Parts: sequence; C-alpha cells; structure tokens
Amino acid sequence: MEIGKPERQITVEPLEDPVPREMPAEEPERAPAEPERETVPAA
Amino acid sequence: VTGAPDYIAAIVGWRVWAVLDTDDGTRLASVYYRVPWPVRHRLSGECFAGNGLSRFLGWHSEGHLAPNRECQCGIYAARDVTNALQHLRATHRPLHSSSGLARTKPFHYVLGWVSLWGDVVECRAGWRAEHAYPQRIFVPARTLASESVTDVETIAESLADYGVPVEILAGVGTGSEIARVLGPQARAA
Repeated sequence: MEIGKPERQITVEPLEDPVPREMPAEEPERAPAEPERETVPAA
Repeated sequence: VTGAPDYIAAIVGWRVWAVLDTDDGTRLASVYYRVPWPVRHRLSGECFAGNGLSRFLGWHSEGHLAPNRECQCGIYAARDVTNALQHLRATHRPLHSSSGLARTKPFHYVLGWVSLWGDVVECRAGWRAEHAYPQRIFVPARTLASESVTDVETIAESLADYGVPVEILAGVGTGSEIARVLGPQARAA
C-alpha cells in the first residue's frame, strides 16, 4: 500500500483494548442451595 | 522507565484484506503476504528483512522490530478508503489464483477499519504499526471484476468470529462504487 514518506514515529497505548473480549462462557450450573438448618430453640 | 505515549486511543485507518479458508476457519489475511489475522488476538508486525523478495522493495537489510522508520515494515493502513482500494486494484489477482507467496487462496476481498497501536510510523497518507486488529469489516457483494459473490452472507457470518461489526455492501464491487457508498465515512481517522 502506498502511504507516502514517514513523517514521524509515535507511540500509541490505548486505554481501551482494541481487541474484543471473548464471549463470556455459559454460566456454570449453580450448586444446589444448602438446606436451611433447623433452628433449635434455646434451652 | 518508559516515556508517556503520544496517544491513548488507537489510530484507526482503512485497509483491505483477502478472505481465506484456513484450518481454523474463515480468516482475514493481508493481501500481499497472506498472513492470516488471528481472531480475538492482536496481529503484531514482523519485519521480513532478509526475505529475498523484500530486499528489492526498499526494506532494511538488518533485522529489527517492526515498524522501523527507515524500513518498509509494519502493519499498513491508509487514511483514505480510496488509497486502500488502489492497493487492492494494484495487487488484485483473479480469485482462486495462486500468488506464489500464498499457501491458501483467497475467495474474496473485503475492506474495513483497522485499529493500530504500539509503535507507529506516521506517513503522509497512512501508517505502519506494531499491532493491529480489525475494528469494522465491510463485505462487498461483488468482486472487483463485478462478479456477484453468491455466498456473501456466509462470508459475513463467518467473519463475525472477529467480534467486530460486519456489514455487507450490497450491489457494489468496484472501488469507485465502494468509495461512493462509504462516502461520509470514507476517511476513518
């Protein structure tokens, strides 16, 4: 590609990554909730 | 200690890509060297100095990191879409032909915006960069020879792997048609 003569050399450090992130993986199945503990009345 | 960068946002320019079938799927590739562009990972420039073909093109003879101001290396992008299209016309070969450098053969050519960052050599009409990734891809529905591309939607869908917007340019193929359709956005940066 013809882009002409160099004019200057610069440094570019984007704050935001130009590469899109991977699609989030499917959420793992949630572990079954722990059964509620029976409350024992205080003596 | 590194110095402060000159810019904190990627430069955006125009370029054209060949579209190849690879073992990993449909991929963009540089038109001349047919280097496949990875999906969801940046492409980093590499100087081909020492490559016999490059020696005659004004490249530095000693190895170095790309881009080097005194060489011709780096990942290229143009300020203007017409400039990028001129490159495509200049290097265009009939589809499915072999360039000698290519291990795989392109079945279409597309264009788009590309983000550039890292060390960048700024030139009068474009840039040569250390790192790059497509930002937006336009898929012409016709080839430069005005042949219809029957599977243009499939091509567009497969290029969606890059995770950036992919847009079909319906009914256009030639450089002047593309430049007209893209008119208002023909200058990306």
